Amino acid sequence: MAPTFRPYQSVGRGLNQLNLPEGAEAQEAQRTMTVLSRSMDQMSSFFFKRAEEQARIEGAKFGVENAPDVNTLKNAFKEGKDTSDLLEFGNTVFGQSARESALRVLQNEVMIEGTRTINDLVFTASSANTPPPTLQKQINASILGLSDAIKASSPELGEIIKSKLTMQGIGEFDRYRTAFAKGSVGTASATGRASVNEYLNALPATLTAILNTENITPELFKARLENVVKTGLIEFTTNGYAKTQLETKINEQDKIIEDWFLSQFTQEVFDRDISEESAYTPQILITQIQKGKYVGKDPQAKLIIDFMNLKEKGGVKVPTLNDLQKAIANNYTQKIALENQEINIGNKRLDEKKKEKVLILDNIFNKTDPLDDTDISDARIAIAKLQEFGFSDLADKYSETLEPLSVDNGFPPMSDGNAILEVETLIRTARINFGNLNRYRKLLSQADYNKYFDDTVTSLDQRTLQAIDDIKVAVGMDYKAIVYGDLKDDAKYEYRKAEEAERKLKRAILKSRREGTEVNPLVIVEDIIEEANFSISEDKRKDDLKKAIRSANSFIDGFKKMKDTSFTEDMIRGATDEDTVKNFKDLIEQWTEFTDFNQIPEIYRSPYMRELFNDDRNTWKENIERVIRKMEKGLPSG
Amino acid sequence: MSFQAIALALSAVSAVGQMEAGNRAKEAYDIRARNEELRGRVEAVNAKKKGVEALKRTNASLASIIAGSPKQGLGYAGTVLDRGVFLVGRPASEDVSDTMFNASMAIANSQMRADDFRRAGDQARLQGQIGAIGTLAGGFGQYGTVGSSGGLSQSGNLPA
Repeated sequence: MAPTFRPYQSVGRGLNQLNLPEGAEAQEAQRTMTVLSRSMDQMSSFFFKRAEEQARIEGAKFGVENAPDVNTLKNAFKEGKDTSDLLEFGNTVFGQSARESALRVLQNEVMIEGTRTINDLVFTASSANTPPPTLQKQINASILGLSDAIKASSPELGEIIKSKLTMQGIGEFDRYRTAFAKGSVGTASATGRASVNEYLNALPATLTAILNTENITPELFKARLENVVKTGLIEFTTNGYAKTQLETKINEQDKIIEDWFLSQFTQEVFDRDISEESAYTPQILITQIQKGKYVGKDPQAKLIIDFMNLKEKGGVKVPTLNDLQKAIANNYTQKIALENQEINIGNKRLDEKKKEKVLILDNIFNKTDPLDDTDISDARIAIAKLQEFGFSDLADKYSETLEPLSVDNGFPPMSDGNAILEVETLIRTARINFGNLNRYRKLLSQADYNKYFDDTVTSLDQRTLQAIDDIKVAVGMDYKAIVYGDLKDDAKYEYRKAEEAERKLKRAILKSRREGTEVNPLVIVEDIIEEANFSISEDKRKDDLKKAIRSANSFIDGFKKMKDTSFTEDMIRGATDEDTVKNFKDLIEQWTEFTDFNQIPEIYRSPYMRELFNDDRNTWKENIERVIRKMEKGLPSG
Repeated sequence: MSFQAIALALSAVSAVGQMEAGNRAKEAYDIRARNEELRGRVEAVNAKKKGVEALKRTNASLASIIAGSPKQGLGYAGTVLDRGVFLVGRPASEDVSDTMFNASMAIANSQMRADDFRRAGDQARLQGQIGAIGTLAGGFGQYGTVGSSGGLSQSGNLPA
């Protein structure tokens, strides 16, 4: 049987382990102390920093107030005293700051002192004409005197001052040296100077002479210019010019040549191109010049452009095409402005003259007494002047006022018998005019005078018509019956001259009528015709021949210059200029209808011909016909 | 508003933040303290329950001794008592006293830990306050160094 005793069974639980505190309080307390100490550190460093700044400011102030001056240092250096502690203020923030500011003050003072010394030395040297090496030594010595005095107290400042003053000294010395060289090297004598000046004054004329040399080409022109430049150089050197002065003279020569190009080209272009009625418009001419093309007629201007288009200009300093263009444009503008100014001045003067004459007339007509002969004569002169100045309206107005006054005052009640006979004789023989009728005015009654006056007018009208016929004969055309628009070139010119002659004739008649002076249309027309120079004008043709031969020569030169050409000058050149012009005209007359450049015989396909062919403003036909016309004008048949 | 005023206001905000951080840390420690106290009490109850269990077992064992001794031929005197004292009474009393001790120690331990956490919380709050004071002091110090024209006049600064 199983025992019933149940022994005690332990619950198996011993004493628990102790679960003691983690020490969180201690950890936090430690952290608290750390935070506290950090805060304290921050605050103390903040206040230290403030204190340091304060010390630095006070130190800087102290340094400025107690910085030794330059003279103290220089004297101490001279006397061999120890100056090493002059700029020592202790190894503290205050002391360091004081030293820094004292050094800055000292540096400024020394730089001012040094600059003043160098300037004084240069000034004295300039006044005494001291040689540059002597001045250089003086400058170096003064710099060393200052920098060495500082070195004992502050070696680094001594070096800084030395280098800064040395740089300044070098600059001043270099300027002095250059000025010295400029002022004292030249040894040209008075005679030499005069000779060089003479040469330079004559230079533009020399250049113009070269430009106008007959048959000159751009290459030849270049060679001549080169010679001129070389001659100049020889002239300068042989007359004692050297170094800087020589350079100045060479520059002067270059400038003269450059200016000559500008003025000469402008003058040529204005003489022939811009002032001619038939010339290209100035704008086209000016625009083309910038492109290196010359579209005008002047051979000299063309030569200048051709020369400027050469790649190699033989070392001659020439203006750019832009400069040329600008010079012409400026000149053109100036001329226009001048013309306008002249017109304005002319108008103003005319206005003043008009006022003067009007005053004279008003004074005469405002008289209460009857007009005497002097009054009438003065009035007539004043009216004639008004007419002359172009104030026809005023002249007419005063004539109308004067006429009744002068007549009424001068007529007797009855005509003198002899006077009537003489006047009628004059009328019959067509010699009557306002002048000789006027002589009989006081001998004729008003009615007779008026009658004879009308007869005089009729007689003079008839003679004026005859005079106009004389003009027609002289001009070679019945210009009254011709429509101006149908005429061409020179004929138009002649037409205008004929009309002008007729106007002059009529003005003379009118003047004599107003002034009561002698006039004979058939006589004065002779003078007018002579003055108008209607002549078929051999002189003009000769002028035209000159132009034509110049143009033909240019073409011939162009043909000659072509490479590998079989062209020879005698193919066109004749015994006289007229022959040459005729030959050239005959040649090109065949070419007007060409439509392809290659239709032109090969020996004549010069660059200028190509230019005429490819001209974008005019057709080939127009261009070649213009040349033909130019040739024709120079020929007796033209 | 000037830049100085903005900087000063930001310093104040930072100080308030630090104070608040200290307070929050203290609250966290307080919570942990309460948890410790609760845990101690639970542990004590469990220990006491173990003590009751030991007593129950003692009773059962003692009853079995008393009931079973004649059949087994044991004499009343001596042996049964001996059994009761040496085989049951002694180990049972050890168990009971252990559990009682454990219960009281659980309470004491938890109280110690809770107190520790509470004091740590106080320290954390103090840190926040120190940090805040440091920040404010730094802010005012910087403000003082910046300086301004406030209160100064053009003529007032010139020597009389």
